[in-house]
Amino acid sequence: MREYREDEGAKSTTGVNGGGLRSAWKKVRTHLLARTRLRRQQAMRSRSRRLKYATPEQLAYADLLDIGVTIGRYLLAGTFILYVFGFTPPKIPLSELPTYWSMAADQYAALVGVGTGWGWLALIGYGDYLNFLGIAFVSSLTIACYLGVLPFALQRKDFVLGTVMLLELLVLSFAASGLLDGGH
Amino acid sequence: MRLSVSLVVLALVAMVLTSGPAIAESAAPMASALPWWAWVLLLFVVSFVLGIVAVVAGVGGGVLFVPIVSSLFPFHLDFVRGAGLLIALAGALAAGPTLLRGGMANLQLAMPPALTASAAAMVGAMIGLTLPANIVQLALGTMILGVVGLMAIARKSDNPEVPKADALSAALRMHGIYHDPFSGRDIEWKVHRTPQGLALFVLIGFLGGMFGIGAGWANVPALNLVMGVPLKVSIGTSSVIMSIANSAAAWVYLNHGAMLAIIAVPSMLGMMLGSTIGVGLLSRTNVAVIRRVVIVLLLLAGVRALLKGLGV
Repeated sequence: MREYREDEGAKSTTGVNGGGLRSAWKKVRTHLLARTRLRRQQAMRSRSRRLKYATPEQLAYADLLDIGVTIGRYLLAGTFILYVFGFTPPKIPLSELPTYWSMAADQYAALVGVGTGWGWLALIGYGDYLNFLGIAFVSSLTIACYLGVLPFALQRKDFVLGTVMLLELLVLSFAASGLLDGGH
Repeated sequence: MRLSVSLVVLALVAMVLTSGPAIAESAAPMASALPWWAWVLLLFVVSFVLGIVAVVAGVGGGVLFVPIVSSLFPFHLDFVRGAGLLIALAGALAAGPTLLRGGMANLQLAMPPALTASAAAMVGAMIGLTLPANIVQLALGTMILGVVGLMAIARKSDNPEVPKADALSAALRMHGIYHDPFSGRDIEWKVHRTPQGLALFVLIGFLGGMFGIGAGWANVPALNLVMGVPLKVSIGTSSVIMSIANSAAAWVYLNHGAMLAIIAVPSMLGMMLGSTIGVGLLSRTNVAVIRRVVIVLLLLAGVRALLKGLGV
């Protein structure tokens, strides 16, 4: 594949229409298009280099994880700011927390009235439980990544790896289901 | 810089030695003596320092966080373990994309151990949350002392000799190639003793889920010394295994109500910030000295957990 140089687009249009807004726009547009092509070529080269050390499903897993981690980070930080700065009212006032945080989880849940399992979802309007959204999101990332790469194994008819992935999805979904806690 | 990191670690040792018993015996009065935000700020600072130390010493954040924070803070062990799991999970997830893209972690190698580890982590988390706190403290203390022993005696092998891949690893296509930037060579690797390795991951996952610690300290020797994976690939793949196994355990803690945002989020933020700074200090710090201090720190935290478990 022929490689584009960064200045190629600009050079090709130099002096076509002389001055003028239209000519300037053409130059910018051509320049931008050339840059985009160059970046795409660099990305393709880097991907083909990576494919020497990683399978396509590994790269797809990494891409999905990258997006998820970025969203998760903002979600965690955002919901925590809403909680600590009082934008969303907490179920347990912050000043009363020292009375609660030395209790066992069961005792705390009983006092607060949050059932086990997905019971926390009913309290999502409170600042402290709004934070659980970010935690649940981060904990779900692996499930999303496995779902994203399972088609690769199935397409390749790699049924051994496909079975390992399906079993992992079952384990993670079972853990996430809340059934272990009675599914309240 | 070397001196400052050493001083910070020594200060932590002093904190565990001096303030531990006072807090343990009178957690409630201490809790009421300080406002909530002071505890949260302290938690952030301690997590930040632990984040630096963990990176420099080459251990996971969770294994330092759980015994030390449960010794120094008035929080119940359930919430500390929940936060510890999230710390380990967040760190492993964040490192995953770079490691996987660069070939320093191998997804195909990670998936089978992660399956056994995550199933066991789920069971470990369930059992850990049903046992009385003093029993868990006792077991935690014993395990931390085991980690100390492992850290003190474990050997490492950069590129272990694997004469022949076993049938199971061949079926699971657990082999690969990685580029070593230091030698500039591509190194091919394969795996042996896969059944033994997978059995070890059941135990590792169980302990990780039960105590809310990332199990990097155990994953790396299992991959490197037992299964014959090169050290660098072992370290990278250990992170991916941790991210998968800890996801299963994190759900159990979350659905059991064993998470408090006010404890989990500042710990995660502190640890992430500390780790970032720790990476920068890595080349300027005497890693061997810090590692020895961390061993001492873990030894003290392990003994403290044992004593707490015994009600001493």
